[in-house]
This record gives sequence, C-alpha cells and structure tokens, in this order.
Amino acid sequence: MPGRAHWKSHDYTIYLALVILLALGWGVRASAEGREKTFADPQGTFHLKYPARWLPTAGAGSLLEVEDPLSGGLAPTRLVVSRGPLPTDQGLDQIAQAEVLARARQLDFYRVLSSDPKSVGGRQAVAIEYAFVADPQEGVLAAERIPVVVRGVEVIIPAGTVVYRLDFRAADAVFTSALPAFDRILRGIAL
Amino acid sequence: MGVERRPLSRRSVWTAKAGAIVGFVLYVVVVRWLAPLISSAGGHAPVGVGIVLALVPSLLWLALFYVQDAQEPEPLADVFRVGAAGMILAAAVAIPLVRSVYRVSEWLYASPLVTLLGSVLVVAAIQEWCKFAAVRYTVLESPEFDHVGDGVGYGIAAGLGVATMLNLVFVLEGPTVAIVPATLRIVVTCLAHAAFGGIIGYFLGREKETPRTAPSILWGYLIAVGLNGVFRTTLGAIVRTGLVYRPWNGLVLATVLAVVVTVLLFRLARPEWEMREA
Repeated sequence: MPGRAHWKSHDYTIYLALVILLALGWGVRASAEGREKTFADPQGTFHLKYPARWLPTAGAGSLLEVEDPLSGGLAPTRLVVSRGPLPTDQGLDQIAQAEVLARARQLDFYRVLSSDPKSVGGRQAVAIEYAFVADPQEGVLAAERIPVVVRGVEVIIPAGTVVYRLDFRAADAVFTSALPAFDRILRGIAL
Repeated sequence: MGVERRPLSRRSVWTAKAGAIVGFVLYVVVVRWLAPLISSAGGHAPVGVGIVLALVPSLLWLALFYVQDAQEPEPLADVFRVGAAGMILAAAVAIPLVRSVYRVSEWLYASPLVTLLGSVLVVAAIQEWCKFAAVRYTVLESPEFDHVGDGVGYGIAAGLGVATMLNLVFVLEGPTVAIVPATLRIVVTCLAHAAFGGIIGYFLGREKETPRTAPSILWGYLIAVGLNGVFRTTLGAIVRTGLVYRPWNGLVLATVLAVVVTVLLFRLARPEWEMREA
C-alpha cells in the first residue's frame, strides 16, 4: 500500500496543474474583460469604444444606447449617445444650461451636482454630474417598484456643426464603481 | 467492542449510482407533479422549500447506498465525512475563488470561446480540485480504502458534497424559489458533479489498489476538469437559446453524462473486481 511520501508526490502534481490552469484562466479573464466594441457615427467622424458585454437597447432619437446587463434592476447602468445640430448663437455654457433646464422638466427631483469643463477627443466639452429619482412603475416585484436615486454624468461635446451628448447613468448604489468604465469610454473617444 | 469497519462494497457503489440516476430523474418528475401543491400561483415557494429540494438528492444517494448494502457494515461515516469535506471546500474555496477573485459572471459570457476556456481553466479546475482534496485529506490514506470501487464511491460522495453546497447557495440567493426550474437545476448539478467525482475517485482507487500500474491521478483530474468545462458550456448552450429557456434539456444532458460515465467506470473497474473475486 502506498505510503505518505507516495501521495505527496501526487499532491505536488495536482497542485502544479491547478496553478497552471488558474494562471491560464487569469489570462483569459484579462483578455475578456478588456474586450470592447466600437461605435462610429455614420454621419461624422465621432467614434467611441464601450465594453463588449454591454448590450444595445431600443432607443428613440439616439445614435447609441447600451446597457450593462450585469447591473440589473430597473435603473441599469446605461450609456446613451445622441447628436444634434450645434446652435450657432450659443456658447458651450449656454448649451449646457439649456440641457439642464430640459432635464429638470423631464426628470423628477433633478439636481445638478457639478458642472465642469472637460477635454474630450481634443475638443472642449462640459461634464454635468447630476442626480434624480427614478420611479419604476413597471416592476413586477414590490421591491422593484421602490423609487431609486440615479446618478449620471452628461458630457456635451461640440464638434463642427453638431453637438454630441453622452449621457451615462447608474443607480446611486453602484455609480461610483461604474464610473471608471465611463471614464475609459471618454478617454477613447475620437472626433 | 466497536463495529468492524469494512471497505465499501463494490456492488453497493454501482447499484447506488444506478439507482441514484433513476431516483434523481423520478425526483424531478415527482416535484413537477407536486409543484401546484407546494408553491404559489406563480410556481414560487419559500427559501426553506428550496433548501429541502437542494438536500434531497444527496440524502437520496446516501439512503440508496446504505439500504443497498444493509447486510454488511459500511463506513457510512467515512462517506459522510467525504461529502461534508466536499461541501466545506466548495463553500470555503470554490465559490469565493470563482465569484469574488475571478468574478466569473462579469466576463465568462463575452464569447463562446471565452465561456469554454473560462469554464475549463477556472470553474472546473477549482471544483475538481475540491473533490480531489475532499477524498485526499479524509479517507485516502485509510487502510480500509483499497479498491477501485471504494474510490468511485468516495469520489461520488465528494462530488455530491460540492453539488449540494452549490445548490444551497443557489436557492439562498433569492427571496423565493421557482420550484420546477430549481429542482431541475439541482438534479442536473448533482448528476454532473457525481459523475466528475466518480472519475477522480476511480483514478484515486486505481492508484491505491495497483500503484505500480495505475495511470497517474493527474489524468483523472484533467479528464474531470475537461469534462466539467465542456459540460458546463454545452449545458448553457442547450438550456438557453436566445430568450427561450429549456431547463429539461439540461436534465437529458446530465442523465446521459451520468449513465455514460457510470457504465464506463464500471467496465474499467470490473476486471480488477473479478480478479479479486476469483
């Protein structure tokens, strides 16, 4: 009957195999997490990259609308990209102000948390951080119908004769952890 | 005077395994039939019902194992120890590594290739190590463990231990349990992990019985890892296609896997068995 030393030699083999497999698995994970999809405006030079696992959702009047399927709930992490004509009689600050007023009419308890200049794709832009209360009436479970505080960042980027609006929002509980993904998206924008 | 502990009867292992496969499938049918009585209008039931559902398959296998071999004293305590070790290792090692360290849910479904590679290299590698360790660090060096059949039996117990913990975590995740889909998932998990555990146990048993001629345990580990990863990937593909969810397909796949592995291991173990009885 094999002794303890015999089994120890097999232990080392199994542990070594496990370490090798897990190391390879870590490489697969790193590769998969870095996967991105590219969106390009068919009528311009704007393009950005977003996480490959984010799924498109139906959106009216937007160029791109994607959601993180893992964020779940009725206030999922979402990115919406839209384009509109650039008002020739307004500066960036006025465009941002008009946007804030429009949002305040659409969203309950809309609050601007900050409004700062930002450089995106080499262009001067403005980033408006905001919060509002979402009222998910269509939830199936009672827990899903509780109003949710949503935080977001809207980035307004004038580019030639058009202005791009990137609206990123997530439930308040996950906003801070989700924000780095949006920062990566902004850094990858090209105009 | 204590009860003399004897090795696992080789017949009891195979009979219990075959009975368990049939029993698990019947269990799903019975739950399907009883579902309207124990669930709400939407087919959901409290978590307590889910816990019972998760524990039944392993208890069923233990009961079959014990009843089948009632004429000989069996080291049921050893089988229970191995199963418990599988549960503890799954809770302490497998689940935290997969969920918290590798955070598999965030990247595993990026593409079919990533799903396969991640399932093999991460999920299966960790789960099969837990089964190996559950047998290795409890009964492997025991002198009572000296047959291939012993290894298969202990491997199955380790597999069911891991499966039971995975199932308990699954049912405890939500406020309620959808009875029939949950039962299907529980049984599929038990059938699959028992099969993979049986493979590891077979190689451990061969090494115990004929150390000079046995193939390396590493082969058993790698075969179980590969089979587990491929099974997981295939299961995901046939259970959910687009927006359509077909959990009964998973039961068919798991049953076929369990039958094929059981027959194969039985045929491989049989020459040693018949030689000993001659």
